[in-house]
Amino acid sequence: MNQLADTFRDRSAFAPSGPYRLLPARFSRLDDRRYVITNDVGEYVVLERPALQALLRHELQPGTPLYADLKSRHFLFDGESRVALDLLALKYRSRADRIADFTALHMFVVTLRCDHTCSYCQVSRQMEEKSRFDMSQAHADRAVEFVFRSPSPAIKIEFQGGEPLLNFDLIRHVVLRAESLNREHGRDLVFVIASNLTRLNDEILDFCKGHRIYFSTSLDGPADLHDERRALPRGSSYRAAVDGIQRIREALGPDAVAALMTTSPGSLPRVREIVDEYVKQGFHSIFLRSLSPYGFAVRTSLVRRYDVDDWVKFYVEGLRHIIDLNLSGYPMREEFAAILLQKMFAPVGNGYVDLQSPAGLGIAGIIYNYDGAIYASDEGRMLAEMGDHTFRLGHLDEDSFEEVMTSDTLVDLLKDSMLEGLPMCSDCAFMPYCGSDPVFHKATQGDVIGHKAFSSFCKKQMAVLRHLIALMEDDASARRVLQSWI
Amino acid sequence: MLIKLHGRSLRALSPERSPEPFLGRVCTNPALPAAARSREILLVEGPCELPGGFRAYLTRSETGVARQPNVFFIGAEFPFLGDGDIIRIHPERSGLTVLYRRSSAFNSMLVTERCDNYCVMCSQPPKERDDGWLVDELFEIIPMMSPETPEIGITGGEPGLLGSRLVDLVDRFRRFLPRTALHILSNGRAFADEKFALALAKVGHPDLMLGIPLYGDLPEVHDFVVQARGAFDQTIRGILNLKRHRVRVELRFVVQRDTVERLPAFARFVARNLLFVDHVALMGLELMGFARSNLDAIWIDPLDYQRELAEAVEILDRARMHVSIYNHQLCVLDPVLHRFARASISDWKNLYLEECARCEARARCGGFFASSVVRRSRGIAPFAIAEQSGPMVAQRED
Amino acid sequence: MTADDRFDTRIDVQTYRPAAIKKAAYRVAERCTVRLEPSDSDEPILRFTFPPRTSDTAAAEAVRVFYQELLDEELRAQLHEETDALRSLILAHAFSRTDLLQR
Ligand code: SF4
Ligand code: SF4
Repeated sequence: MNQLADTFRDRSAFAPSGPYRLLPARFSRLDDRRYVITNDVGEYVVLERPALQALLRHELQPGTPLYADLKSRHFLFDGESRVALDLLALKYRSRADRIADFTALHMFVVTLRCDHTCSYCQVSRQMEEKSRFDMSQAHADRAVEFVFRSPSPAIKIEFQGGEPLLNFDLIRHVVLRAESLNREHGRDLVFVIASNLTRLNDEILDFCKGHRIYFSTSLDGPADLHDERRALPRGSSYRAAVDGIQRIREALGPDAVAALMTTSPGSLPRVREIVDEYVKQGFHSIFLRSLSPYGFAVRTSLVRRYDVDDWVKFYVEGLRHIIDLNLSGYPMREEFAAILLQKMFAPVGNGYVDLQSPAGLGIAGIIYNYDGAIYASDEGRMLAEMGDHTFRLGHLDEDSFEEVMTSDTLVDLLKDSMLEGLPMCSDCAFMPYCGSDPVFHKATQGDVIGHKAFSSFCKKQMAVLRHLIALMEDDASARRVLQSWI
Repeated sequence: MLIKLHGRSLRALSPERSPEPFLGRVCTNPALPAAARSREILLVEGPCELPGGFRAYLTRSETGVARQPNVFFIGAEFPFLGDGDIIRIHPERSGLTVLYRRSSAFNSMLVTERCDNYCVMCSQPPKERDDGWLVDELFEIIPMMSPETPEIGITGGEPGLLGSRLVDLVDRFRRFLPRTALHILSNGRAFADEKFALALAKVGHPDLMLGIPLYGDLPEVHDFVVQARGAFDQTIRGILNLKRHRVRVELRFVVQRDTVERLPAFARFVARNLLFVDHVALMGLELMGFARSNLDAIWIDPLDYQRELAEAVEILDRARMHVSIYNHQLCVLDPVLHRFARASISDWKNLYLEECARCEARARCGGFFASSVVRRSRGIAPFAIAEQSGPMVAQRED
Repeated sequence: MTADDRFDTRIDVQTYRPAAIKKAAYRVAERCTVRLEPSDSDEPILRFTFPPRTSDTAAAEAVRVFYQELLDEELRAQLHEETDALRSLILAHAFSRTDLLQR
């Protein structure tokens, strides 16, 4: 019956002959029982320890589903087939080429002035009146020239502060100048204003209508949590934010504003409330961030007041809540998970600056400070405010774009941040999804590499990646939600 | 519509006729200027005076006066024949073969029956013999085709075995039919030779696509299905070489019992390794040729692989690849898959069943291969015309 | 466990390569310091030093984790030995060709 006609050979005639060979890979513990093994191009397989041992000792049986998956995902090859090597080379190259598309994000610190006095602010605040903390028009013009020197086809110009709306005239100037230059360059050009929205007014909104300008604001959670750390001499910062969000949506459309939260020790037990606040404000996306160790935060040593384990608990609970929201019909993405999942499942990766190897420093983003100094990343600029100039790439008055992008500072930083060469990372299964955060390690440990056994960045990365992989493996309904974020 | 493209019941009405088979283009205008008649075959309905100078004559009435050479009676056969169609007449065998239909959206041209694969479900089993005349004939008729032809398919056997002849053929299409899309069905192995892929690319055809079958993510699966060791490696290298030189490639995966188990793994493999291909087609079996002799070994009811199919489509779609389902009746597909289904079966091969007449989805459904009547899915059931919902069998629980 | 937060044991350097021992030590550096000390026999001494006020259970756990890591590091070393040459080959191949994705 179920047989092929005589002129055909059956499956066994095509089974690979001889032993298999291993391909380059890394493995790490997933939980008590299981390991995750990944290759250089980010494919992974979860397997139990005996299976891992069997694999590495060449004792794995062909014909089993595990063998087939390991072979399909390029952890081994056998028989006469060698095409796995071609495909691996190709995938490696494609990942590397992403880097060639560099400098998509350009941040302009148009002023350092701010009307808030937040205890954990990542930028050292300056008094509102001191206009010597504003960026000059000459520096802005020169920075716009730099923007168009970068080869990226998509360009985002982000206005930061301080509170950038305190220097809206310069924002208007930069937008018009960039747009007029872009008529010739034809890039995909968008603008983002990172603002606390207290200074939002109709004049600003009217201007934004005619241009591709988006807003990004802070929303830390319910009013008391938000206002606890965002001190406004008069009025409520929370009210300003939620009113501003509504006004922007009405004037510019529902997707014209995004919110970003900052985690403080007070947030840790309240993740559900925070997520629900985002739902209440009509957001379909939230980024559950960890508190960064820069600016005031380091000085007030808030970082040490809560431990990575507490944050991981906060994160896991928040993610569960978000998945449940999706399952009950409210679509919502958690952006940190989305970034990692994209690295795991979308082969070309993405451009999130803080999670790249080599670090996205200068490559995915570059920052022009109010005084004309150029930094490799926003956090690098904040370190500079604290007197550490490791990440200063040059100055708008002194250097050309080419000089900045080939500066020894940048090249050395990038070299040091290739995870492939770092102790522990070089053997870590999570490496293809991780990324280095040299600024973080410089701030906390004094060197850009950092000892990963002491690094809370590493601890956080491992915990979240383990959690996500376990969800993908063990929880079918969560998997469906997570997949929809890729 | 199921139509016949070949017949052997021509009746010669004229004593004088060509001894050799010949090619010509159908024309229904007896007043065509004499100078333009030499490659045209005049088709007339009723009895009439036949003007001289045409290559041959086809008449639907027996009572004409056959004063011209090569007059043939075709009766009511080939009712669709019209201006611009290209046919071959074989007077010795009373044969008429329609090679090209001007009104068809898709004309498929067989260029060789030789092949270096030997697929267990091949619908057009290869024959090992010198058939170079097939491609010679195609060279001859390309200038006779309408420049408005939307799409031509090149099939085999394995067109790649033609070597540089294939490159010349594509070049000829480019010169004579620059606005016609060209789709070549090839197993891709010949393009493992990068020089060959480059030569094809260098033709610079404006709208060329290679449809290349890939039956799995693992060499042992693909090699078994095509019955050739090493074919997987060659096919993949062929695909890489073609894409390296910017030739568009479509992957074609036939779902059958040996391939279905790793269908989702195949999709994952493609999304990871071959993300740059231009289209992925997941296809149902066409029960002809070897597929028919191996039917029991390879058949699986599409109803029994909806989960795998849906998973594969989801993976490819999420990777933002273009994915289509071919050769599947809508009533056997999970409703989430309907938007990927294409009515793909060539018009001369497809038909509908009795129940299809009562079906609301018929206009969107590809129907059946004429050959598929030998085995049909348990899931065939018309969508009720009155109601909006589908038939119960199409509602699959997860 | 000794009073001065130290624990010594012998280790077979035939079974465990020194490189693996060092890497495992790096991984547990937060819990304890592990050092290889020469001894009068063939088997060197492995010396665990714990931070002040480490409990006995925590110390035992640190040693257990160290051995677990050591086994993993041995497997890693094996994997490296077998695949490092292939990795170089793949990399060389990757950067010797024009890219596919730049359509
Ligand atoms: S930082 Fe930690 S998680 Fe990330 S690659 Fe390095 S060792 Fe792995
Ligand atoms: S019943 Fe409807 S859906 Fe099913 S094959 Fe016929 S036309 Fe297609």
